[in-house]
Amino acid sequence: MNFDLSEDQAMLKDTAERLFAQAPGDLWTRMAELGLLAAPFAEADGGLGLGPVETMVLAEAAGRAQVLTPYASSIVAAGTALRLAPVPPSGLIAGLAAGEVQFAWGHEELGMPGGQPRRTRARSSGESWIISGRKTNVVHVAGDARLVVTATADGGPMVLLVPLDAQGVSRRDYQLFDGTPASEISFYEVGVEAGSVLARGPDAAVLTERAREHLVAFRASEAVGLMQALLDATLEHLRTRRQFGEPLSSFQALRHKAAEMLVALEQARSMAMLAALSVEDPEAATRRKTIAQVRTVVGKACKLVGQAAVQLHGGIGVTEEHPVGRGFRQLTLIDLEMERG
Amino acid sequence: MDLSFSPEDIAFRDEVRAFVAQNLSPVTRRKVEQGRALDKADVVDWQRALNRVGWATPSWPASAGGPGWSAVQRYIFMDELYAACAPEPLSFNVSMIGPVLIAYGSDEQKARFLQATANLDIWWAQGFSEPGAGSDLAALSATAVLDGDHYVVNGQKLWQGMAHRADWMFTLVRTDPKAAKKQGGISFLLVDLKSPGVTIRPIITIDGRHEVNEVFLDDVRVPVADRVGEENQGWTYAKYLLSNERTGIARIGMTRRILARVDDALVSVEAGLTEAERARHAGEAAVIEAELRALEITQLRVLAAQQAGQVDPRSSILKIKGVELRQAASELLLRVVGPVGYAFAYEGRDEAPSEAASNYFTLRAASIYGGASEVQKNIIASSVLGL
Repeated sequence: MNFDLSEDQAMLKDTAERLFAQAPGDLWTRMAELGLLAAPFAEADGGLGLGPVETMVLAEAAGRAQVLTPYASSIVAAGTALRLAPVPPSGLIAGLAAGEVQFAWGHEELGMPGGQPRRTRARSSGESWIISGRKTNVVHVAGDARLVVTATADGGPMVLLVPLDAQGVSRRDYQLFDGTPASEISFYEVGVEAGSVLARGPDAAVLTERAREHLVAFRASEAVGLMQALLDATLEHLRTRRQFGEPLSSFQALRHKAAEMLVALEQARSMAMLAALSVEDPEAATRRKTIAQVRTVVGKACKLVGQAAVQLHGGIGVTEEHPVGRGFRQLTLIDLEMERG
Repeated sequence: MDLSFSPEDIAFRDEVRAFVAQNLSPVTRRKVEQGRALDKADVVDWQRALNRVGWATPSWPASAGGPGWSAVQRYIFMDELYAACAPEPLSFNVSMIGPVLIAYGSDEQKARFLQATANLDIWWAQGFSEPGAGSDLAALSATAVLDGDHYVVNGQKLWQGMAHRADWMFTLVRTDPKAAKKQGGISFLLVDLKSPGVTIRPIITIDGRHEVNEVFLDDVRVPVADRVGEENQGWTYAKYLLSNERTGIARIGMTRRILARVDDALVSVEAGLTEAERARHAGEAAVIEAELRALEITQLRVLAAQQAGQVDPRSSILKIKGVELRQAASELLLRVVGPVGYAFAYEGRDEAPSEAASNYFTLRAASIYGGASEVQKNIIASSVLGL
């Protein structure tokens, strides 16, 4: 039993932290150059063959730097669906790992709980499939992206690929409250070839669940990085800001609140580690329970740490330009995602 | 990063599990399972059964007659005891005075007390708190004045857990009232509770039980040989004792046992819950269980750091969160059991059908003793967060 990072994992952490500390322009290209997009994929498919702990390290570094990247949707969720598909599409995975092909995860639908069958329909027509439906809050959708879409076909689940430039696909762009670019993607009688289907029936249900579990694990670690950033900023504020002739850190009510932030953060950190160490567990029931517990603990911590960071910062904490205000919005979104699953 | 135990640790766990299954009396097991008070014999018999195989003192080094276990083995051992509804080894003896004697006691004291302490031939009481010295322990005012080769001790001690069963008490007294700092003039004495001038009075707590006492010391003569370490250095030994008290304080297994009772009560006919109530309570239990899982990992992380020889002030997190979850579970149990939980077992009467109320009231003290939650937050703020 140990909780230390290996030497290689510690190096990855350094690399990621240095990268995310730079100006955000062209981040995705630089992540590709450093091989970060290739991390979870098999070496045979142009990947690095790294595991969930490495993904955890990356997620935490991204959270700590408060950067918004397509990694969760593209590499983690869509990437999991590609690499765990019954027949993984090697060429596309290699393109994704190299940063040459863009992917986004299209699962969420209005009015549908996350774990329920999708309203988006696929019906077969000769050699192809015809897709109709609407996906909401699809994030970081590049103009030439391919979407990994969850759908219902013949009464059972299906996971398939839909290129954004296909006939009948339309998009409406907006922003989520944490600043993430998002799109509502509508499919009107969109025809895709038979080879676009990643999984059908029970395989598709498993694939969807696995992708969503990996997404939870990633977002949990991202939240840990974010909470650490907000706690650090709060401690700095308490040490330097003076009121009533004293530094804020001399007031016990505020010291106790900061201590409560640490307790919540450490509980969440434990669960983010557990998520990383469990997300490849072959036992579906064990995995399911663990991921549900991760969501519970991390969601609660996001709320406590985010709200406390704003409260302890005072007025400056509710301004949009301040990192703590933005961090609170990022944590709030993760909290909601954790609740929804 | 790896959560699994080594094959040696797993073999050890199986050995402990088999031993507990064979040696724990069913009567004691039932009491622990249902949260009922233990008789003195329950505790003594179990401690001696453990001591026969050298397991009564998990944290003691082999050189002092302990098993010399690693931090992970100690964790596994305690986890197995909780899971099997076995009592903990008596903490006053095993976690408090034992380690102090091992670290600071004279050779004569070690020879006289250690084996008797491990075997519970001597039951120890803790004489720290006073009416005017609770969280601010160093404000204590009991005095000891040197008279030949004896100290003459006067004062009042409060909250002595199980002192009515105890043979000896370890206590803190002021030997130098003129010391510059209040921590400076304190000495650590061992007091034979049969000495003339010792009066023990029971305090019945809100759980209806007699566990704690107040102890009056009137001109009690204590041999100088029964002082631990140096005169006026008692605060150092007390701090050492309190830091040991805090390890393993998460008591995750104990909370699990309460949650198991919640699960039983949720499906019992007596509770008379509607479907909506049952769903709400089950949801609350699931949240506690999730937090408990996180705390278990947090505890393992602290253990791993200890194993690597690092001191981790984050053990205060274990105390705060561990208590919070135990209190939450006991409150949930009381709400779930329904009217059967309103009956109360007063000291000296027959047992109640459910101990839910008693357990709930007992556990309100858990965030007060062993360093109140507010004190733990102060420790985190200064030692971990650097505020």
